[in-house]
Amino acid sequence: MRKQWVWLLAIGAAGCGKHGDATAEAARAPSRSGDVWETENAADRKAAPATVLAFVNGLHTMVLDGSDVYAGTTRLSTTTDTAGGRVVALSNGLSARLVPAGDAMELRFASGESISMRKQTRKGK
Amino acid sequence: MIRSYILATIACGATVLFAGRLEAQSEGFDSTAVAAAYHKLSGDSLDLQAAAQQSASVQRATQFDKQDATTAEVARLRAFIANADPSREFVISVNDNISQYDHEHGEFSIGLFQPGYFVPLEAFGQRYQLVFANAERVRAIPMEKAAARDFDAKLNAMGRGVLNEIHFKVTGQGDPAGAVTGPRVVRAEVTSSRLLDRQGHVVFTPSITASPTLKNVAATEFDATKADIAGFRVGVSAADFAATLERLFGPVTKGPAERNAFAGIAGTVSMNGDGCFSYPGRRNNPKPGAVCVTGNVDNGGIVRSIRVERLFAPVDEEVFRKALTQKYGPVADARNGSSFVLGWGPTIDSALVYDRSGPRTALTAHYTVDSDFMREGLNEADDVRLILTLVDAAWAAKNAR
Repeated sequence: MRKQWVWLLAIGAAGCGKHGDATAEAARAPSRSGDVWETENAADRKAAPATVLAFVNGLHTMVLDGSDVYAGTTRLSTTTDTAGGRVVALSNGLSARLVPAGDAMELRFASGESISMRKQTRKGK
Repeated sequence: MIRSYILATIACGATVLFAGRLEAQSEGFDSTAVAAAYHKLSGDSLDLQAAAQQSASVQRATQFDKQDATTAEVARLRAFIANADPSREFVISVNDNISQYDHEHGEFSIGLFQPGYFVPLEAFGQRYQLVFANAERVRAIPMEKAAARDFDAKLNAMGRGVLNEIHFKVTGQGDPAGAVTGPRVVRAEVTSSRLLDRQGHVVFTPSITASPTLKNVAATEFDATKADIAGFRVGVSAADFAATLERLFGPVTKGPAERNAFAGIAGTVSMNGDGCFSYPGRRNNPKPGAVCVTGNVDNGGIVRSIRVERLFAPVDEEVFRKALTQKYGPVADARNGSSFVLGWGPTIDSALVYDRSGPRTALTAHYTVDSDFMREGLNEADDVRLILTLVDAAWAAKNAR
C-alpha cells in the first residue's frame, strides 16, 4: 500500500552566500517512484505571490520520493524534523513548511506566502 | 561625523515605478563627497578633465590661466577621490510621504524606500542616482490596526508628508534589486532613519529589520553549474533532463539546433515548446499555470542552456523581483521598462542570449505582461509571463568562435 506521507517541509538556512547549496545536487527525477505535487489555484491572484516563490525555487511542480525532493533536476536532501516532517535546505536561507491538509498539502514560506499543493493527476500516467 | 543635509521633494504618486525619483534641491549638501566615495569604492573612473572643466576655479580662470587651473583642479580631484573615506556617514533629509495603511500586511510604507526610488545628485558636473540597498528592510511601519487608526489620523492632519532624515554610507555601485538602472547608480546602506514632522518632532523611527534578502553575493562567485532556474540545472545529460521534464510536466520533443544557434549546440529538448506565448485574439491562448521548458544540448549530449517559462495570474512585479534577489543575491545587470529583465553572473555570447535587448548574463529573469486586447477590452488585468534562462557560461567561454 502506498504510504500517505504527511509532509512537513521546512527549507532551512544553508549555503548562505553561494548560488548552490551543500544539500542540493543535480539529479534526474525518478521515473516512477514518489508522487508529483503541483501548486493549485493557478488563476487565483491571491495565490500568485506564493506560486511565484514556489516557481523560482522549483517547488511549483516537484517529486516527493521518500526523503528526497526533486525540484527540476535538483535533488534536495531532507531531514526529519521534530514534528515528523521533512526539512529541506535551499539556497540563501529561504525557509518553508509543507503542511498536510487532507489529501493535499500546503507549502508555507517563512516570508508569509503559502500555497496549496495537490497530487498531479495526468492522463497516461 | 560629518553631517550633510539635502532637501529633496518626493515625486508623490509617481506612476512609473522604475522612475521613482526625488528631485534634489541641494543646500550645502556635499554631494561631491558622496560621488567621490562612489568612484573610489566602485572603480567607476571619473573623467577628471571633464569634471575639472565644470569646476568654479577653471571657469573663473582667464583664458591665459585656464590650462594651469585645469591641471591644478585635476590634481585636486584625483586627491579628493583617493582620500575619500568609505566609512564616512552622510545624512540627508528628504521630503517623503507615508502610504495608506495596508490592512493585509498590517503596515504603512515609507515612500522613498519602495523599490525603484532614488535620489538624483549632482556632482562633478554630472548626475548620480543614489539608491538604498537595504531600503526593503526599513520600508515598513508595522502597526496593529488600533494604533494604526490614530497614526493614520495624525498622518492625514500632516497631509501624510514627513521629513525623512536618513543616515547612510556609500557601499558601491548599482541597485542590487535592479530597479534603478543607468550610469552612476550609487549604492548606499541606510544605517538609521527618522521621520519628522514639519516642526522637527519625531513621527516614527524605522528599525532596520533582519532579512535574508540581498545577501552580499559577489558576481564573481556565480557558478552556473551550481545555480538552478526553477530547479533546472545546466551540465546534466539530455536524457536525465528529458526524463525529469516528462515526469514533472509531460511529453518532451527533441529537435535540431535552431538556426544561428551558438557553436557547439547540436539540438534541443523541449516541453510545451512556445506554448506559453499568447497570440492576441486567439481562443486557446495559454492560461495561468502553463509551463514551457527548453534545453539546448551540446554535441556530447549535455544540456548547456535552459529556458523555463510559466504563466501567472496578475502579480506585482516586485513579488518576482524579491523572490529572485532572495535566491540569487544582488543583481549584476538589469533592463527596465514596461517589462523588466534582471541578470546575474558573467557576460555570455549574444548568440546564447534569449533577449538581446536585455542583460547578456549567464542567468536572466524576465517579467513581462502577457497583453491581450480581448481581456483589456473587458477591463481585466493581464496575466504575467515569467521567463528564467540559464547558460553554462564556462562551457560557452570555451566554445566561443
